[in-house]
Amino acid sequence: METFLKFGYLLLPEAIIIGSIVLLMLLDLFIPAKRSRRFFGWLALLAGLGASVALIWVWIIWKTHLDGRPIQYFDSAYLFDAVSLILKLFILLSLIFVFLLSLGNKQNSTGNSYQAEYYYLMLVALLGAWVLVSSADLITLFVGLELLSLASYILVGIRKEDQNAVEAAWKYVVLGGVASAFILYGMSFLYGMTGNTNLMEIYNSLQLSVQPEAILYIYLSFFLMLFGFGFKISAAPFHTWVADVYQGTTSAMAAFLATITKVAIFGFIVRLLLLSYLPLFYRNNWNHYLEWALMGIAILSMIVGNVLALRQTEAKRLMAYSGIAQIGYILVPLTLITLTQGMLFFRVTFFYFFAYILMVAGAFAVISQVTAQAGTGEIRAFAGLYRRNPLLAFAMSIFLISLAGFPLTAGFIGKFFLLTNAFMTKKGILLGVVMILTTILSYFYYFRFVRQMYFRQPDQPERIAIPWTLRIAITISLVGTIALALLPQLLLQLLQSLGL
Amino acid sequence: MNHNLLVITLFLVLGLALPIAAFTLSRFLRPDIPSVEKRLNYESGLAPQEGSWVQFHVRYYLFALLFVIFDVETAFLYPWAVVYDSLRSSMGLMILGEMVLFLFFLVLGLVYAWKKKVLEWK
Repeated sequence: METFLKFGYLLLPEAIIIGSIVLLMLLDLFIPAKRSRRFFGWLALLAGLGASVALIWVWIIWKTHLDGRPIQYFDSAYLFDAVSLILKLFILLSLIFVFLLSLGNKQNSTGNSYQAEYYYLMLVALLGAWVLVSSADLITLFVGLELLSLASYILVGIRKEDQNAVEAAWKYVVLGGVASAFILYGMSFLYGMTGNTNLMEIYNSLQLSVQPEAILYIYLSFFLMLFGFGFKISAAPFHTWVADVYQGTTSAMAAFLATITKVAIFGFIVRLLLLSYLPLFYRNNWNHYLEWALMGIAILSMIVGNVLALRQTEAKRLMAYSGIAQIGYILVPLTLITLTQGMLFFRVTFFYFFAYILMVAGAFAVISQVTAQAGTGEIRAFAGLYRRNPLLAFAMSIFLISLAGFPLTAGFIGKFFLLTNAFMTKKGILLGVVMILTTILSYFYYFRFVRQMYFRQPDQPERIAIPWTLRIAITISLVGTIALALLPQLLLQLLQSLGL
Repeated sequence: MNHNLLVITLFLVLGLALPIAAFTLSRFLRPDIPSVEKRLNYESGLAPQEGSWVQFHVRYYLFALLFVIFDVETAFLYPWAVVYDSLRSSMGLMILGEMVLFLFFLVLGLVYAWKKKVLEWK
């Protein structure tokens, strides 16, 4: 409690988000029903920008006045440290992209009655994601997880009149609920064996006072949670819902699920593993089992994602499967964390995540405009995009070859780091080889997409106009994708200065 | 390790076997003399009015959700009131502020439901 009174101002960004949620909700309730709710998007964007200014201010204060040491609130249930700070920034950046996408596109609006809900529920989901990446207590973590999940269930199905959206929301609710149940079941074992919900206290009791008979239950708890998170992060073999949900919902919401949800859940797995489980896995030589389990998930995700993406004819489904493969790549350093002693783990992973957010947000921005204009989500809609809007086609090709990991893009540098991390260890060589082979496989579908844009005749010849909000989103992600490739040391130095 | 696995297998087997055994055993042990009253669905001791497979109006669930708001409120208010004095001396008025904040968010939910016309039964 004293830390809260003393350092509470570091939670200013959270306070801004909570305040905006309450204000937007009350505003929605008390302005007449007939008034247009379109300006809610701008208010929510304003809240997001305000929170990012606050986040950067807090960062500077923390760096200069508190020497960047981690701060624990509420009996260390809530943390303020470098990992949470960086992940919060990533999540906020993704949300701003999602807002720009939603504002730019009529197709993404939900009819006047749910405009307001759409935007403040996005802020609620952001809050959940933030709690998820910054708490170190099982209960707080679960509250954060559900805050994020429940808000996204509603957001996926917010266009109630659209059959596909309803189906997507239904699938997402059922499978998401099952995943939450797995996670909660795992947590209950962990709590039962250690008698504590705080991750650091759990670490202590795992080190000192756990009965040998209880050890297996603790592993059971971890693997149960791994199941749940596999679902939520959409890694194979838990990936079956992803393509349907992306296809059924709006492009903005698909971008939301592809960036914010994945970053937040990944942050949680890392925290859980590093704060509580890893020493125990080491001590009992179970790190081999852990490696094999994570390696299986990573390899399967890479193979399944890339192979299934080959056959897709729908743009958002393609992005869904490519996202599964990307998660496979990102899981590589985590798989090897016990072998590399966590060396460069955060730097490599966070670099890739940043590149991933930029290219996925950019790609979805282009997809949302092109598919909205064509009235279909098929890749066919992109035929001859070069003739209809050369700049848009250029931007989309950069995002796609960045996702493919081709040189001169952020995706290439990120993948290069992942590979060097993998090749540091003997076991990682297998992963590295799978990664290279599946990457080559992925060239087929990414370049088929690019070929479609440049060498096919367009169905409709008229030019594609882009609203200026989308133009901002595309420009930022395009510049970011190229800048990150030319000057990767900027981000790396930033991460290094945070001690990651 | 093997011992561990044994424990967990036992746990699994017991979890499955117990409910099955309980239902099967009671089936053989109990006297089976059905009468009309006995075959009725159990409705808190009252005779049921009609079949139990009726459809509830969806508003019923909205009311149930609203009920939960107040339920949660008391579930937190009561223990808070019990330890109020001791926490007051260590934390000061912060303890009051926290609960006011909590109630504020709960009331927000009620206001939302009210404005969305959940309380009107049409």
